[in-house]
Amino acid sequence: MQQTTPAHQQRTAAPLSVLQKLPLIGIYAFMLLLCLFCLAPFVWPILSAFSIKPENVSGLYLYIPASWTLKGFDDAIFGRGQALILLKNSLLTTVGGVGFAVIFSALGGYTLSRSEFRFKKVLMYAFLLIQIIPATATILPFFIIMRELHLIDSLWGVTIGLTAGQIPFLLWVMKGFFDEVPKELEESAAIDGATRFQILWYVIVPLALPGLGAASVLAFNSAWSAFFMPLILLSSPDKFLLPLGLFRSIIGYTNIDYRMMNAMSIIYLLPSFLFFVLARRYLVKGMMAGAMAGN
Amino acid sequence: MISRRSERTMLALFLGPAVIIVLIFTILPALWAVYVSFTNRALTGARSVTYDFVGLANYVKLLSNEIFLHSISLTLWYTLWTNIGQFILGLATALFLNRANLWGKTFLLAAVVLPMVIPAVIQSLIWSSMLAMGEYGTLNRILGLVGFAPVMWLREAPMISVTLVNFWNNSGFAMILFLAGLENIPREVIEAAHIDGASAWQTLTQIRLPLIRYVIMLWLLLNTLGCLGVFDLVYTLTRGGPGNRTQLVGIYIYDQSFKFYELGMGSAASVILLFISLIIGLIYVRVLRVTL
Repeated sequence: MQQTTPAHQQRTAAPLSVLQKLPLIGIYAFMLLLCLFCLAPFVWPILSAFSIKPENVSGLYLYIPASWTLKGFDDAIFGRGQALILLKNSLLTTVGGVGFAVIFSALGGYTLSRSEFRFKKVLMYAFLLIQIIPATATILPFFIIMRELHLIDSLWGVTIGLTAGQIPFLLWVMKGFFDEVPKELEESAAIDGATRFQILWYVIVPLALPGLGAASVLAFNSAWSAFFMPLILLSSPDKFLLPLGLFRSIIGYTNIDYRMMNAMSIIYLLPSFLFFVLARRYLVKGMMAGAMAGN
Repeated sequence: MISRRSERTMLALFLGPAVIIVLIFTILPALWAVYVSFTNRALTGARSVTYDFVGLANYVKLLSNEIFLHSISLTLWYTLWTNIGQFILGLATALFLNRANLWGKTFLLAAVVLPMVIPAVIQSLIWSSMLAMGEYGTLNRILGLVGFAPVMWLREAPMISVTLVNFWNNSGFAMILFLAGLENIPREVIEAAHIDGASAWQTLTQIRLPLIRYVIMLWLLLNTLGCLGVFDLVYTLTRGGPGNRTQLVGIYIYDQSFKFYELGMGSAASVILLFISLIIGLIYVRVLRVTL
């Protein structure tokens, strides 16, 4: 974007006739429409969560608020929304699941980066394939296995499911990060008598930390959004995660309290939004780099 | 120095947990699905314990089952229009944005990425208001401004509704990938074409598109896989309804297995989806030309 050649700058700096300006106006109009399409749907949940609706209007519609209130959050957290239980369950399983996945993938990624063995290629390709195969295709037998292991309706089951779901992606990313840490560093540490684990923990991990952090954040957001797997595993409302609790409230109540639902959504969205603010550049760059890989 | 033997132990210790977890919870289920698809096993009741091998009977039944064929055709419809629509929208946006000093470009890219990080349940909640029926539904109000009569979106046009929400949350993927591809084309190439008198259309079809065909191919494969396996968005928005009008293959598998407890049929449908996904996945890996 910044690499404009002088010739190009000259061209844009030259005075434009009305006819030449038209397409630019068109482009800006298009950009404005696209922006509206992306952002307009967010107006309703934000207005709805913080306001008292005028009478005789369904909470489902976009309305001009009669006045502002935090009652929605009060209902969500301390009232029938039970957001605290849902939040606790979500945090436990997501942090636990991604935590395990990060540890196992860091260890595995290091091995994949540093040693050669017979089935390494097969393994790497298998992990790549698993990443892109839809979960829908394996969810049923996954459920049967979890049932055999008595992990149905248990937060441990969900945690393990999230771990298994994030490992293929994290393993690939971590291997990539470790590949970039020079081998000489650990060789000198090995001469000093450090064990493999010490080398990994004190030499490699600190160097790869920014990458590891970014990858963990990506994995966290993906696990935080998980819906299908918890849906089939959990049946007791006191074990529900946030998305499941929200979904059950949407389909369960005959008279839906949209203010409370939207307040709960905002609570649920906070980590996603934080993630978006922190990692937006990385997200776009990561996607772009993904497209360029091997090109 | 580290001996060969301790090297092997380390390998097993470090890589072991990751491989075992994925083996048990992802690869084993896939193989199990293939096995169960040849039986008449049920999720509960007598047939969950004693079941028979029925050979290809599930597949024969499935492929002559109107509801399943309906779900296949819905999935193909969804995949086709998502791919065509988001390709056009993504390419148009990328072409528009691929110029220097465009005011607000960073902001637009951020706005486009935002819906991509929103969990499916929230997407559905947000859009249940956008798509609400009657003249006060937000989308109906907007369309009313240009003179359209109100539409009962989720009842009259459920597939279009689902596809529209997917456009909202997923178009950014194509836009960003295509833009990255276009920005990677050296400026000299395009300038040389201009000097040679190529029209804008010729530059697009004969230079730009061929140069980003690799990116387009990767996007197409990933997007297709996402469409074929879609569950969260459709289920939270319509639960496959009204009737079975949005019962895509993912929802069909869920209904067969967890609503009607027919493991054999559910597994057979899973295996078909898995098989198609694997073929597309293998093409993807091949196109990606990953170097290990």
